[in-house]
Amino acid sequence: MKKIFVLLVIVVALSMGARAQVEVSELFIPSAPGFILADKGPASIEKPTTPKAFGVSLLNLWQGGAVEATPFWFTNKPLYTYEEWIKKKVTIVETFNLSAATFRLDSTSALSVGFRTQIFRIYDKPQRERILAQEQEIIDALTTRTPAGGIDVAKVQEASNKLDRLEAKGFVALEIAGAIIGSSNTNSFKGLSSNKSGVWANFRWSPSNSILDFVALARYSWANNAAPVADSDSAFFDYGVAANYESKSFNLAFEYVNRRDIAAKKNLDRLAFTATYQLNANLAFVASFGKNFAKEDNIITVFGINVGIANQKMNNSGSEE
Amino acid sequence: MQIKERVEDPVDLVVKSNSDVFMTIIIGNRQIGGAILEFEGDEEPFAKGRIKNVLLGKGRELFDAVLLVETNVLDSNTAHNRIIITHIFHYDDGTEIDSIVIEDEVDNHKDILSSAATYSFLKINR
Repeated sequence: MKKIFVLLVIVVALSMGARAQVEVSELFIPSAPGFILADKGPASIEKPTTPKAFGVSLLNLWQGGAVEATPFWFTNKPLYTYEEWIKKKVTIVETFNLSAATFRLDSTSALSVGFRTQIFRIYDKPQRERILAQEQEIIDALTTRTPAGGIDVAKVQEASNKLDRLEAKGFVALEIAGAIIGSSNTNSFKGLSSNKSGVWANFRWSPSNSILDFVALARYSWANNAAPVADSDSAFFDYGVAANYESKSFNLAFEYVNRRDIAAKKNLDRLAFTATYQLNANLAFVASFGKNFAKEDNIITVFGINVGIANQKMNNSGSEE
Repeated sequence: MQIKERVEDPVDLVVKSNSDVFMTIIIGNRQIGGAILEFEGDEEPFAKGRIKNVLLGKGRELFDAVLLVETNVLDSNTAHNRIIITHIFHYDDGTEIDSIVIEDEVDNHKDILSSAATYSFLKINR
């Protein structure tokens, strides 16, 4: 049944492939913090990105999903221009995003709520000037009529794609996030109690003259309602780095995270490589492999698909083993 | 990349005869766009691109004119597909004559909204 459902989704996505070309990064919804805290995504270090006003993402089609909302964009902002957005450095309000996620544990379901927001995002001056010059190029394309009297859509598309590439480089950004996970041993709402919390920060550096960009992570997570037993995994401090390479169809990411188990006074680490290939505007394949934190049963093997349907982009990645 | 076209209802603007009339267009919601201004009957546009404090002429010069404004906006905000355009007519000192807000939504990210508006100018009756 699961295979039929996945096949159906792939067929639907392929049949929608005639839509306009989109960049590979646009197929991703920012992962809900709850997924990251639960180690349920293919990557442990997420790039800070611009969240959607309202979005839905699926961990996979039968294990759970998330909804997210960015309240700032619930209403129109008549005076908020593109130029203002690019020049703006502190972007906390615009990017403040709330999410709720649910996913399957071994014998029960877990519920998570989380937040994320970008504290700042600063383009270097030459890049900011290039972006605004490219904006002007789009405006010129939009306001120059073809001999037939219409808009040269191909020219606008080309200028817009170039703008996307410029926006993705030449900046530094800091994002913070937090989440709390709850579950019930009896699988009833009455018995729901929180069992894990975490807060973290991602710092992204995307040099304009490099094909790579880099993200550094610091994360503290702890178990709630856990008996203070030595040697238990009750609190962790994670720190790590990730490097990403992105081309028109490929996204390659390498990450290393070191985890300090504070109660057990020991260090664990995770090493993962994730590759994404965009087949068409609606369908991308994701593969991730490497070593997870655990001492045993720690091989990461993920193969999944990202599906975009209509205007919502869904993340349908596999879970870690 | 689809183009969604819409035609606005004509608007009459009441202006002072001896004052310069300006137009400014603000593309909100962090979207990207510009406009083409032309007077009905002219062969060439009067102004195009980013419209900010564009002098249309003295009020008395505009009484027989019909201003056509085509505003084209590319949805470039990944958060949503909503478009908001504000046409502001004002005098030299910034005093607003009228402000017309156009709100719409395109179906997909990177679609274009094209709005055609028509403005006529009337003399203030004192």
